[in-house]
Amino acid sequence: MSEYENAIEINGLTKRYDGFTLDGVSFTVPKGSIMGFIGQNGAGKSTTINSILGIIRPDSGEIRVFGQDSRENETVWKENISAVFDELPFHENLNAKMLDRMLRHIFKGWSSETFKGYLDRFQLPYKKKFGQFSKGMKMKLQIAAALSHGAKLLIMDEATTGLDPVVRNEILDIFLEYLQDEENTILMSSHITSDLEKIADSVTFIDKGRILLTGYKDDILASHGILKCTKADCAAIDRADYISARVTDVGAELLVTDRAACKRKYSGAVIDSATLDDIMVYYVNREKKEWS
Amino acid sequence: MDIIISNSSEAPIYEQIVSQIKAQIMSGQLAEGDALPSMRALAQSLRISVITTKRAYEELEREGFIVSQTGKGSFVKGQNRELVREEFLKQTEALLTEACEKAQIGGITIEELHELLDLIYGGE
Amino acid sequence: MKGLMLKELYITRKYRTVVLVVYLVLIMLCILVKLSAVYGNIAKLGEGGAENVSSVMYYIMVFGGAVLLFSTITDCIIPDEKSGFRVYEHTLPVSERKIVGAVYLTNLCFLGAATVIGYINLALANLVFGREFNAKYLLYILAIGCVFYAVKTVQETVTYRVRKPGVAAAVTNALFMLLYLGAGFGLANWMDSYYRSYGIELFGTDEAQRDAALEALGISDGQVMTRFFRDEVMEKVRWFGDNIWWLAPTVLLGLTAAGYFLSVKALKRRGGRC
Repeated sequence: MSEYENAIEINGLTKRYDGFTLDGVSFTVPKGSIMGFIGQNGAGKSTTINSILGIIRPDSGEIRVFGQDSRENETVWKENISAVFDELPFHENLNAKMLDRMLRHIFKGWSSETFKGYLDRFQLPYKKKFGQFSKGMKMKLQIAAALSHGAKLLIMDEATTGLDPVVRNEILDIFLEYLQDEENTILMSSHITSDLEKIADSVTFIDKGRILLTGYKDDILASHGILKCTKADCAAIDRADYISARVTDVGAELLVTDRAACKRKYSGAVIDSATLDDIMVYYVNREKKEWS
Repeated sequence: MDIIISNSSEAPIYEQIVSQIKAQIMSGQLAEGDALPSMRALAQSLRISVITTKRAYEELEREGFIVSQTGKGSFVKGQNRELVREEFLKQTEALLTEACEKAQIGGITIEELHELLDLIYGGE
Repeated sequence: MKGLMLKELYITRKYRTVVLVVYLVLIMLCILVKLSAVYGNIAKLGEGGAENVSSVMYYIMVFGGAVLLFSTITDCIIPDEKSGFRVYEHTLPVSERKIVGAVYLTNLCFLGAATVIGYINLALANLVFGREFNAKYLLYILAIGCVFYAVKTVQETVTYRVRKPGVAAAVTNALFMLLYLGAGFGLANWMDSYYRSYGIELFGTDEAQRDAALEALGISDGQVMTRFFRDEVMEKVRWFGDNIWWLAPTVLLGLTAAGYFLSVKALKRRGGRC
């Protein structure tokens, strides 16, 4: 694999369906980082990821993986990636031993020792049928398989959804371990933002098929804030300074985009940190009537 | 080396890391030539983004506290007495500014302040 | 491709095992009946009775067994779709050609293996039932296998082109239904034209009129039928038998090639999900 700076580059990705359009999606995932892809159900995360993986053919736009057009030499770059989905994509009657044998002949870099190592670590049985695995076990199995052929890019579509906090925690630790090698990159889509809050390097927000925001997580969290004030004061706030406001009987809360500036401008106002959840909610509710 | 991050603190995380490492260097806990954990290892331990640790290390390097060599890692730099003194001066100044502000709000005069200073400093 | 072929094997293992068990049960039954015909109760039926039963069982063992053996030619395309493996497959470094190739190759392997076992089965049956070796049967067994293979190939191509499992099955059934209907019509027309050669219309007249007309000619309905099958149909069958050595491979290769290319194209066009 030749040198590359960004594991994934997407430019103007567009795909039209009845009732939903992925419109001009663009973002970059630098090598060695972990990108959190955040959005509601149906916002377009899966469509985007499926486009990257070639499961869906987009109408227009450019996608580059490892610096090369994703539509060329698919069987070459797919040697070095792993996809993890929210549902186990294997037949119920298969077991880990069979999977091991199968994938050995599919991936050039497959290592049975590594795979068995992960199975031991996750305490997954080698000969039990997948149909009898719990949800957590199924996810850990996918990850064990994903990490056993030297993949340089991990793409996960809602992989941690539906898992209990303890298992999610274990899995996040595995990801951090994976990232210790600078050549490895992770793209992770989720609507559970607490996971990404901690470990993501960059985040991209998507809503209704459009990208709302993309950038370094630290910057985004540092620059956004929730300004809390009285209903009366709320009217005095410049519309350009905030994304949306939630007005209640007892006051108003607004998401501001430049925390430092607002602190100076509206001195005395309470400005709290915004979480990724807050950011997503306020951006998405921009268009709702109850919010202004 | 121990680093403790507070999520509820006003200071951004990378600043917390910077000040804690600085403090440990100046107090001698971290000696010249000591190796710091890699940016990624630190990020993993603290469960934060590697971008944050990278920023922290970059700032420490800019201020002359550590030196990073690609492939080898980051090490504590020998401390120039002047620099250390300078750093302490900066911090003392900041604290005194805070003290003065409070004094002004509380209506404490500058003479009372001088007295207080003599008492506290002399007593140490 | 090996990995994918392994998958075919693993996933259809249960089904194939069941079929093989049924096959073994059948063989056992046939042998038991033969034993009974020689030593046991069936022998008591008297010379003619036992012979007939024996005869029937022989054919059941040879051809019924062959049918069962060739039923092991199957695929896991639908389980693949249902489990989501089709989508996962798209993230693997395998081309559509390999995916389809694995299915067809496995089919060929099972065709070969089942044929070999079918021949062994034939030898065993000859032994148990005391029959002479008849080379024609080798051909017939292979022919049965080819039919199964051909049907499967068509089914698989349709399933690849029509992604939804339920719809694919419906389309395949409809196709074969059309085939049967077509064959039925063809046969009916054929018989009709033969009857017309006697000056009688097969359809459009009721039985009484037909019988009367036949009587006038001095032959019975049964005789006409017999002549039809003996002269016309057997003529065609003989033609098939003589030409099968080139007819079968051509048809099979043609079907396989067409199926392969259509399947690969369908897979490429639609991707993993629509």
